[in-house]
Amino acid sequence: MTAPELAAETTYRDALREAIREAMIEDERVFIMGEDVAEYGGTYAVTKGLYKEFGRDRVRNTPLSEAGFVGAGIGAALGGMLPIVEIMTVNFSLLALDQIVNTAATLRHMSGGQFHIPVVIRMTTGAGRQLAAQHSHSLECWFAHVPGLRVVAPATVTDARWMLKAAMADPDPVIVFEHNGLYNSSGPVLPGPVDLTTAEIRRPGTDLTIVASAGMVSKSLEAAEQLGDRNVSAEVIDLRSLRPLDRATLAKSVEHTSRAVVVDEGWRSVGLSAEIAAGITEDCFYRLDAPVCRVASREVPIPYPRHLEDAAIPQVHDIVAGAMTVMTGSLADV
Amino acid sequence: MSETAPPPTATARIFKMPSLGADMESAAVLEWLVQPGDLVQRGDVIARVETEKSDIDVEIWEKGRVIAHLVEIGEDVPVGTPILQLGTSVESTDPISATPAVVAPSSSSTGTGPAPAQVRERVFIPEPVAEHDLPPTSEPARDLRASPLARSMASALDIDLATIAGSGPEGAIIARDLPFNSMEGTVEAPAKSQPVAIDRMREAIATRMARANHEIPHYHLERDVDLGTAMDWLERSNECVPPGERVLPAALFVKAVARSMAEHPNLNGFWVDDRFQAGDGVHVGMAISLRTGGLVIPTIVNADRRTISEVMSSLREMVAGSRSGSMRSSWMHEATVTVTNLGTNGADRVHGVIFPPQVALIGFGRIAARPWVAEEQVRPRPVVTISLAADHRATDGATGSRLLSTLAHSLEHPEEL
Amino acid sequence: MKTLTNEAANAIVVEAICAVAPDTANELAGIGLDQDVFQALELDSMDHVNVITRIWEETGIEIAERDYGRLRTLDSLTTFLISAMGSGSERPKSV
Repeated sequence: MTAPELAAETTYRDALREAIREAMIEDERVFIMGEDVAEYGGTYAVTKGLYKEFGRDRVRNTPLSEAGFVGAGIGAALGGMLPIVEIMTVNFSLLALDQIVNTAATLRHMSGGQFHIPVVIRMTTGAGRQLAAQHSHSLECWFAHVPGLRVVAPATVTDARWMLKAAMADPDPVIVFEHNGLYNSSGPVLPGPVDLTTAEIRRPGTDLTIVASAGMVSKSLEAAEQLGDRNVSAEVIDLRSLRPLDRATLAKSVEHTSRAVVVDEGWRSVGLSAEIAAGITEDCFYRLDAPVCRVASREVPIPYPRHLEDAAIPQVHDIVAGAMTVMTGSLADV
Repeated sequence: MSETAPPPTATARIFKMPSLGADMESAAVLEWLVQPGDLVQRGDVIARVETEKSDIDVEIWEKGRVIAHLVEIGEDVPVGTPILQLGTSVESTDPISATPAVVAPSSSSTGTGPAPAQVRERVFIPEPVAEHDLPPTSEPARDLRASPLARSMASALDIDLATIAGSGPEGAIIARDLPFNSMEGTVEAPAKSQPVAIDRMREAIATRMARANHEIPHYHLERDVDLGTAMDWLERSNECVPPGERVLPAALFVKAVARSMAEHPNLNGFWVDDRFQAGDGVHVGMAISLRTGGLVIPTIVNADRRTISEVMSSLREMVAGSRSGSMRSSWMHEATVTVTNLGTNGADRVHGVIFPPQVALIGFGRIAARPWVAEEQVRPRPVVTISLAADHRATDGATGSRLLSTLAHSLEHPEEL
Repeated sequence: MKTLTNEAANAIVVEAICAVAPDTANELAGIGLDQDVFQALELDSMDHVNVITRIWEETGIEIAERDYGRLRTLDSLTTFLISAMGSGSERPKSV
């Protein structure tokens, strides 16, 4: 894919900010709330400058109470506003699970479609910044489990720019996961809009399919390059949407390659990778030429020391090793 | 009735359908050559069975008294299925234990003996058979490891997976092991109604050889050897013995190959899971062509430890057996190297295709009188061209070259063999 | 002294070939008496030695290796057997 002439290089962080800004300009019901989002500009500086531009009514700092301010956001959405709620990390979102799972996800269903909750809840996920176990986990699967929620994970600058806009346009709750390792990544912003439901083939290949999302996409692309040196042509699929899963795109790819490696920064047990692997097996069983391989995080709370943190989460060489296992049936020397 | 209770269960044994080749999955008994009540000795042929490839005489490797046939004639059963119940040791003098097959059920009369009809009756063996010895009730394909893709391709292409050697984990058959494999992932299956013209042996050869050419980076080396000394030596020794003990050059070739392989173990074995696995002995497979087309490769186990006349008699039996359709199960051992000998009427040299997962194949062309330079003179000598096809993943040309040198030296000094 | 009729000698040779290569029985019937029977039936040296051995087992008559070359037709083999039996060079085998 080549960038159109007018595509400007920008960062993932700036692309998110531009999306929020545009939404706030276009519709005055839009406001953003969260811890330190105002003057400070947000823990990851996504809202930097918005306070100055839109003022304290639309860029609101909240107390350190996820249950409280997420609940307030849901209430505001019920009341006709279009709130964007920022949660510092997915770890802290657990305090708001009751609001999200018991309220946001259920009201449309329980009201027979009378009430929509057009809230967008953004949160950071993932490890790699030495923030230790309480700030580094990948709990996307907790939300992807719940009917009534839409869960997305933009992995590219373009998706950061346009998926947030699409999330704002969705009448129901959308959880947006932003991987902390992506904020500084940069690239061209291709023209939107984009959808919130399909997976995207980031690199075509014929020998095996690597399925990844968020922070694992770039690692998978790098692994695919290395696999190319071993004469293995790997197709890399960026899930983009974690709920619903785009099983059709996965199935189409695996029908073609007959082999799949699922990369997940979450833990392996009872996780997203299990769901994807099961889906592939259900959809493509008679085309599989090897068991579906999962490359996931070690079953430990993410450690603080750099070397242990690196060892705990999937790295490029782990993905290559998984791929070679699927290709050759034995663990290759990688 | 306690007085007719069976002998201790420890003496009951089961003989299972043996594996008569790496890719054999099942076989059917065509004919029983032993009957209940017969004593069998080690080496006895107990049955003739039909496998995918050929009919084979199955030998038994223990002695005992046959109690019962456990499978019906013509019933295709998986390898490992108990086929014969062997009774107590033959030394036993206990009349009951010696003839348990005709022990009548407990309702039998206590008169002068069981009625003839009851004698003829096949009584199910009363000894409890260990759980794992019970015949599997599943269909044969259940034990066969194959990927779902391989299974669906095989089904679409009407290929019997039992004829395919797997290269996947733990020998699983995966898509690339199948002939007609398309890496594009779109296999155009021929219409099922289309008759499959090739016979099973052709199919098996096609599969193996396609896999060999697809997977194995072959390298080929040749060496001409002056067989003058060897031919003289054979002629002299054959003069003194009756026809049945005469030795042909082929036996010399096999023996020389076996000895040379023992000295060059890197060429004797298998390429499995991306690494070389040395053979547990030198087992020479001998390619024997059939006049009806196709070939079989019976194996001479531990050929390096056999004398030339032992090798010769094995070869004679193998050739006669293969061509008259009676292969013996002891020939079905997995070979560590294959020899192909084009014989007296054949071509001058052969550039062979390795039989996977082996890593070498040694070919002998016809022995022909050719001009040969020795001691600065050109003389007509009986010369053979020996060729080596070797797997470049396992060895390099230098190793192969050394093997051919050793082989040439052996054939030039037949007395050392 | 035991003698062989032409028919009996011929039968011994044919029987030996059939035993070694039963699949050639039909073809064998069409082979000319002065044709190289081994070449015509595609019998190789191993088959050949098996036929020679079979004849030896049945009759006790040894065909020397140096005679292999000239004894490749049904005629020559039959004639050889008759003369060998007549000359008493056989090692009679008890039956």
